[in-house]
Amino acid sequence: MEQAEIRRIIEEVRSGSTAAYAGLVRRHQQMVLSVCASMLGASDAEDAAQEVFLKAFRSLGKFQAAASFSTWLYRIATNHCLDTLKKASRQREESWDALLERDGELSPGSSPPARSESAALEDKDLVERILSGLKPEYRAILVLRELQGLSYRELAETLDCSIDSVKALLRRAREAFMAGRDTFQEPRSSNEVRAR
Amino acid sequence: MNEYQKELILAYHDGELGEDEKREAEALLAKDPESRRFLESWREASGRYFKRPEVRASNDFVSRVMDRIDESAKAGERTSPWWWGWLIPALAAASLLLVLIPAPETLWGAREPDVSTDALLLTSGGLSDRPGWMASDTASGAETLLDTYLEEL
Repeated sequence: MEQAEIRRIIEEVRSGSTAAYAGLVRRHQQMVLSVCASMLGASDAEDAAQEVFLKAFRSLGKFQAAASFSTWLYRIATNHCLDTLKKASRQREESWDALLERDGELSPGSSPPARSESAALEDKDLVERILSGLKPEYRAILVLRELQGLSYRELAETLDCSIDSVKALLRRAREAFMAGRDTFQEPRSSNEVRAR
Repeated sequence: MNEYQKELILAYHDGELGEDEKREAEALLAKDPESRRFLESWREASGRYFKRPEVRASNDFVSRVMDRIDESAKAGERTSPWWWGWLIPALAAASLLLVLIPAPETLWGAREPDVSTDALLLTSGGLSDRPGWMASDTASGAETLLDTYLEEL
């Protein structure tokens, strides 16, 4: 779909033709779904993607015709996923606190998965696990760059920062990712050595 | 390697450098084995780990989004009548006008009447109850009234 076609649809929707919005959803559903799945996991992706399109519809009046609709949608999707992750993190902290208060201390079974469990992880699971351990901002920029292939300029627009900030954030995110990979792969290597 | 060099090498990997910076990055890679290892390490990780998740939207995804938009619009209509959007701004404007516009007396320069203690005493007592007597709101008027009353006595 050309940019001109997208702008025409947006104008239609703005002038009251809600049904025209279906064309935009159809065109961008895979892109939004992919971002949500990478950020939140496949099971929550579709609900999150629906929310993103709903938010985009409500904010369509603020969309500036000169901007790229995809980049604008990436921004809404990224912000929605970051909010969801932050909420989930707060809830985890609260439930963790509640557990500590109730039990006095953590039982061995409630601790995070042991490193040795990661030995069986495939690369895909490994990536999910590493990403889920990163700061949400790092996860977002890695997903947008490595999986969605956004350029530095698009990243700057999506994350509302400068190109220099994008470079710095990408470096830190990649270093954190590599550190996470080394952490998870360490036991796998030692298990492999033991197996031999 | 410092942070600038790392960012330079990563931007080189991403194809995000202009001609001058690209030459700078290639010069660094040519002379510094650590920068070569850094580039190779990320190139390998990037190709190996980052693959788009295989998720497909369900067949009714678009219609479900559109249903939610319709529901949301209907809910909005139910909870807020057409004039609702005007109500709060209108109330705010009215309050502002009340605060900003001065009272009519202030506008036309009217003053509070001067009432002396004497006049108050005279007008609040039995004097004003007498037929034909009028209350006065000035001291001089009160004196006149008093004189007339004394004469009658």
